[in-house]
Amino acid sequence: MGFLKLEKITKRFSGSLAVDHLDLEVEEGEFLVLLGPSGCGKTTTLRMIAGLEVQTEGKITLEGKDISDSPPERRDMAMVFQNLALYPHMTVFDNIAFYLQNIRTPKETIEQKVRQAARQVGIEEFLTRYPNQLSGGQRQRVALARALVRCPKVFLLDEPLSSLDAKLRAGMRSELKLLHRNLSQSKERKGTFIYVTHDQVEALTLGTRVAVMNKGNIVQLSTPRDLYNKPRNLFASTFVGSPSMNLIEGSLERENGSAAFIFQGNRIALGEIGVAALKRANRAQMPAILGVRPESVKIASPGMTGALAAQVVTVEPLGQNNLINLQVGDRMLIALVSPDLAIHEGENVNVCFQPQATHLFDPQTEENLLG
Amino acid sequence: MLANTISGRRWRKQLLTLVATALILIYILAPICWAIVSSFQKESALEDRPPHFFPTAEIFTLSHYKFIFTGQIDKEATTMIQAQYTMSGTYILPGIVNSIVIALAVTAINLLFGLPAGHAFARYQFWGSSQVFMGFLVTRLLPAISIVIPMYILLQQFDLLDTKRALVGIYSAITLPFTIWILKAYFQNIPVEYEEAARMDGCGYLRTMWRVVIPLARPGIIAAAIFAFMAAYDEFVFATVLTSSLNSKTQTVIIAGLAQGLSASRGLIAAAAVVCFLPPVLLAILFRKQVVQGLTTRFA
Repeated sequence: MGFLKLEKITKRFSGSLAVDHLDLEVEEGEFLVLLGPSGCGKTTTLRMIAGLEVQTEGKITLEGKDISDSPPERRDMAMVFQNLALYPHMTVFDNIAFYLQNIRTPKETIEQKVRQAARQVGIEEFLTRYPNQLSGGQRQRVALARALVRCPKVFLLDEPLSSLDAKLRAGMRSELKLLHRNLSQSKERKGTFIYVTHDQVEALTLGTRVAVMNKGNIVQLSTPRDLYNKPRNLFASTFVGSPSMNLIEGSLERENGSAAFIFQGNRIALGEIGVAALKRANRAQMPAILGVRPESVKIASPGMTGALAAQVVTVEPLGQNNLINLQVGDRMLIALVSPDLAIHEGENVNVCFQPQATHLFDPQTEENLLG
Repeated sequence: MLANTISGRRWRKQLLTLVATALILIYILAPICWAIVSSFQKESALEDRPPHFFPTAEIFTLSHYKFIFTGQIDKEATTMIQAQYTMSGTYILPGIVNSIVIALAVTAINLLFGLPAGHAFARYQFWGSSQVFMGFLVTRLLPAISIVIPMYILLQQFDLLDTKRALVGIYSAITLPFTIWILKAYFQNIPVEYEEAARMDGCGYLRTMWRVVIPLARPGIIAAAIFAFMAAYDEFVFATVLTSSLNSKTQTVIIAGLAQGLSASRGLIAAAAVVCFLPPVLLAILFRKQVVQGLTTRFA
């Protein structure tokens, strides 16, 4: 029984379908990330959970109770908005205290709770200031404190870090993670987070589970590790990972007990993985798309059997890695290699992939052939 | 050389702006200044040609104001001028009181209905919302003179002629569309997330309005209120037809009453005009900042 459950949720905006029969179960204490490109329906989904948007169809339950028709103020959820929405006419203290004031909490309790929340995010000394007197990072903390002070059933965060610069964002990211860890271990009410982002790094680092969304539905819901290592379909495989996965169209063929991927006269031995994929599809030969993450593309010594001949087009030093653009036949491949490896532009090299590091997709359904 | 031409061009642009501003200021302020200057001059001096632009000791008098505030006619005023002072000169103050009472009531009604209406038009799409909104605005295009006679007959049947209530009702109907329009524009300008945040923070509709929307829209609300107040305070056409006694006569009607006949005292009219425009001028000065903000603010 899920803590928060979305059943067949659909949202239509004057004809266009934003969310399409979406099912989702969130466990208490979880940090669930909704990840997807803009327009995939992730924010709409979050807003329907909050009650700010009413679903066209479907049912939302929280702790077993149907909340589909409850207004936002009755759902006991806190939200951090993308633009933060700190009340500009109130001090930081009042911003944080606003919810407690609204539910008529005694003054001393408010004072104590606000101070505690402010301490948690390190903004105690700014309580008498107004939001426009704070820096971006400080405002971010106020928005968090405003949610924290309530101990809500669910924390909803809509791209909360997008307004910060890269350096601050990384810092706040680790703080958020730490915050969630502390809250999820709390005895009374575990902190349940639902976090919307289009940034895969945030999704992979923060989430206990990540739901990749596309065109109004979830295309994969799994742990960050599985999402990266076992993408269920082409969309998830290319959306997650940077630089994104190399995809090669060709065909998968059985050959004397083993299997190989053939493209443009090149042959890549896939061993068991290929056999398993063919067995699963119950075919001896089929069109397929081979996916390899750039870090799994290895530069091999020349003359190695089973390797592909490639030409180095460009070498882009990224510091900890070098990004190499390779030409194999008329395909471009990207490889991430150690900067110690001496490779020069224009050079002819051999590349190979380890079979375990490859993914196979069906070009028609775009699903992973290994499930 | 290049720097020279640029600064020269900029200088010319500034000069043009300055001249244009000066012309507009003269256009607006000249009649007001002339009213103020005239109000301190003896009636005989106002007959002089060329006119006196700066009152000197011989022509300076406070008798017009004295008459307005106390009803006493100064000895220094000549007999000829005494004849020109009509009793209605002493009705200015009660007229201003009527105008202010009516204008305040109109302002209150404007806010009471304009705030929720403006907010609804700004935030909710409902069936026919844009048509209804356009309908409101279109009523502004109706000339007052075309409905004043039907209105007279209507009020006569309801026995509401010569009452402040009638004027309050009519002025509210006239000013509300504009109020709703300004408030709608202002509300649309406030990011909706503030209201959504308030809902998430446990506020219902009314509390969201009271604690978040109204404080954030304060400049817009003050601007709308002042426009409604001014419109009601200045209105003449309805007031002159629908009022008949000090029970409801407004300052505009009373000043107009002073200006009847060839023998009307121009000094008295000028003084009355000055006294009448003091309240709105005071308001404008007090709330200058909010009015400008209300019409120009854009939220980041």
